[in-house]
Parts: sequence; C-alpha cells; structure tokens
Amino acid sequence: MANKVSIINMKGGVGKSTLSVNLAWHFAATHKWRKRVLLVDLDPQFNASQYLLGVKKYEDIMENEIPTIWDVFEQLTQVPGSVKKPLLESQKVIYHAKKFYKGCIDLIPSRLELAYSLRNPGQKEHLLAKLINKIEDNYDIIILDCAPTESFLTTAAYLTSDYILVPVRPEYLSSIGLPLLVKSMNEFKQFYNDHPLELAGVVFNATSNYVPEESKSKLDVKKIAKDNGWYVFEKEISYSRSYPKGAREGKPIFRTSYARAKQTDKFKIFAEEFAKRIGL
Amino acid sequence: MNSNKELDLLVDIIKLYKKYGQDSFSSLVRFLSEGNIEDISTLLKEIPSKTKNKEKDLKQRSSINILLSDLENADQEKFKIINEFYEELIAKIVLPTFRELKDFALDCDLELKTDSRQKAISPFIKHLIGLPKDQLISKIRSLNKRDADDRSLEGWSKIILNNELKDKE
Repeated sequence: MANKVSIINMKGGVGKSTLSVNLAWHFAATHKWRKRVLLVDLDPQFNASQYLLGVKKYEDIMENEIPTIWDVFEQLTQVPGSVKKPLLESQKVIYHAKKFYKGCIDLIPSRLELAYSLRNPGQKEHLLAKLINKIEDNYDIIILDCAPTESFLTTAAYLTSDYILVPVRPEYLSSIGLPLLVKSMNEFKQFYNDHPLELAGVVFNATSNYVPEESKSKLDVKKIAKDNGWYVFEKEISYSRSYPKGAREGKPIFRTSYARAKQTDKFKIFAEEFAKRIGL
Repeated sequence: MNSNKELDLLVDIIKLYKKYGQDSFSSLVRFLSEGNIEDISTLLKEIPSKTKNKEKDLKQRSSINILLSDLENADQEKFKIINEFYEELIAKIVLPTFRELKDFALDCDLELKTDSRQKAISPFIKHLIGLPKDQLISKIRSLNKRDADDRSLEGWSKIILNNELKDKE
C-alpha cells in the first residue's frame, strides 16, 4: 500500500506544486529511493501538470482526449437524454510522465475545466479515493497537489490521503492561510471521524532569513502548530531562483543548471526528514 | 593510399573536419602549406603543456576505442548507436555539462564518482556498452525527446486560450 500525502495550504503561491514535483522527482529518481510515484494534480490551474509535462505532451493529452482528473470527478455526470457513460477505468487516467532506472513518476493530470466541477460538487468527493484504492498497490508514494481554496476537491484530497504536508511561506499574509487550514481539517474530522488523516507536518518554504519579518511569521506559525499539536519540520526549504528556473526547464532543483549545491542539499535534507516522518 | 595507417589517418581527418568545420580546415591547410617553419616550431613548443591532459584523453579514448572495436565485431547495430553517441558526447553536442552527464548516467543506473566530465566519459560509455540494446535505445531516445520540449508562455497561452474559444463555440 502506498503512502498517500496531500500537499495543501489554503493560501496560494506558497510553493505547493513546486514542492509536489520536486518531492516526486526526488523519490523517483535519486539513487537511494527509486520509488514508484504517482502525482495527482488536483488544481484547476494544473501547474504540476505544466511543470512535469511541458506544452507538447500536454497538448497530446488534450488532443487525444486522454482522461484527466476532471474525468474522474465527472464520470457519473450524465447529460439528460444521452447514453450512459461507462465508468472510467482507473488505468486510463494514469499518464506515464517520467521513467527512471527503477523509479517512475506517473501523473493524473489536471485541466482548467476542473473548475466547472466546483459549480456542481454533489457526491463527487469519494470518486478520487475509490480510484486510488484500485491502483495504489502499483505505487510506493502518492502525492496530491491540492488547490488553494476550500471546496469538494479539498475533501476529496483528505479522503484519499493518509497524511497532509503543509508548506508555509514565513510571511504575514501567507501565514494567515494556516488557521484556515485548521478550520478545514477540523470540519472534515467532525464529518469523517473514522478516516485516519494525520498531519505529517508544517514546512517553512522559500525562506530567506530576512529578519525580523520571517522570524515573526515563523514564531506565529509555530505557536498555532503547537496549539493544534502539529509537527513543524526542523529542516526548511530556503528560497532559490533555481526553483522557478527548474519549473521552466522541466527539471527538479537538483537537476537544474547552475543550482547551488547548498540549496539542493537543503531540499534533499528536508525530503529525507519528510520520508522518515511518513514512514517511507 | 599505401597502407591501413594512411586510411586510418584519413578517417580521423574526416572526423575532425566534421567536428571543426570547413572554415577552420581551410584556414589550417593554408597555414601549413605556407610552411613557415618558425611559426610551426613555436606552436609545437606550446603543445607539451597541454600534452599531459591530451595524453590522458588519448589513453581514455584508446581504451574506449578497443571496447568499441570489440563491440563492432560483436553487434554492429549496438556499436553504431554507441559510437555515434560517444562522438556527440566528446563534441559536447549532447550532455554538454558535467551535471547533465551525471544526471543522465543516474537514469541509466550509474552513479559517476569522477570529479570531471572528461573523466566521466569512459566509465559511462563502458556502462552503456553493458546495457541491453532495447534499454540503450530507449534511454538515448529519451534524451533526444528532452531537447525538443516546449515550455514557453506562448505555448501555454495557446492551449489555454484555445480552450476559451472552444467554450464560446
């Protein structure tokens, strides 16, 4: 059974997609791990899909009508008067994005139209968990890159996951996303109290040691974490221009041209702490 | 052509011609045919400082050449693929940086422990020779696909805005 982790924060721009792709690549490609990784892009902005695939492969998916996460949530939707659609076969929605020596990254891509599903969310939140249940034995770790706003997609992510990883930028407006997440998780647990969902931890992302603003934000976040019994990762991911550069090049930071060893090492050290935390 | 040696020399010259291009070659032919002995002597004196590295390169290349020669006798198709790749590697047409070479080697299950790109080539080629042919082809093909990737804003805009047009229709 795979370790299933949602990377989530109610605040946008904290680096969820970048972190999702870099973690997926780290566990799939590095010598030590070589894991079979499934990355689920749960965001209508489809940044993780863009990062991993590039334009041409994504165009192929669109032109050949290869199923995406949208199709997962819409498989029961039927236009009145039309022929009933067959249920989506789980393997059809998996796109083999990257192959390494023994590891791989498969992707359930997203698309803009996923936003339409938000208008008619009824009874859809279980569909992703059902699909993942059928295929999770094919993977060692499943990473869900979540959308920033609360919706049935958030519930779908919670229902699918064993763990939640929360990246936080240590700056004022970003840290306000955290109480929103606390509220979201508490509401979920009230309704689905039998679903074992654990917080893997909060990780400070894109840090730059800009004292005193970062220090204040970190203290605020640590206080909220402590009040809720949440773990805060010891290792931080510091800001590096190689992250956006990597996204442009379609590579993780540790394969981006001219990325400094200090920055790539910081990321790897965090990834190791994260792996330990979720028992990978 | 009087001997195999001359034939080998001709083949090497043709390869170098391909590598350095017509202009460099024409210029060098003119220089040599003008036959200024002092200039050539001066040039020859400068060579020893570079010779040590060149000697190492030559040793590396000769050991690879022996392996490639054996491969050519054993499997023509595999030899052709690896030989072409090797030449492109030497010329930095593929994997021009050490990092890129190391990353690609890792994808081929080889962790390179050398401290330079130059030193990494020999163990890497030896490793490739040991791979099954279908795996070798797949790996090299994946390298070529990487180079052809479009990641431009223009490309993404086309996808996103075409979607908008389709919605309106």
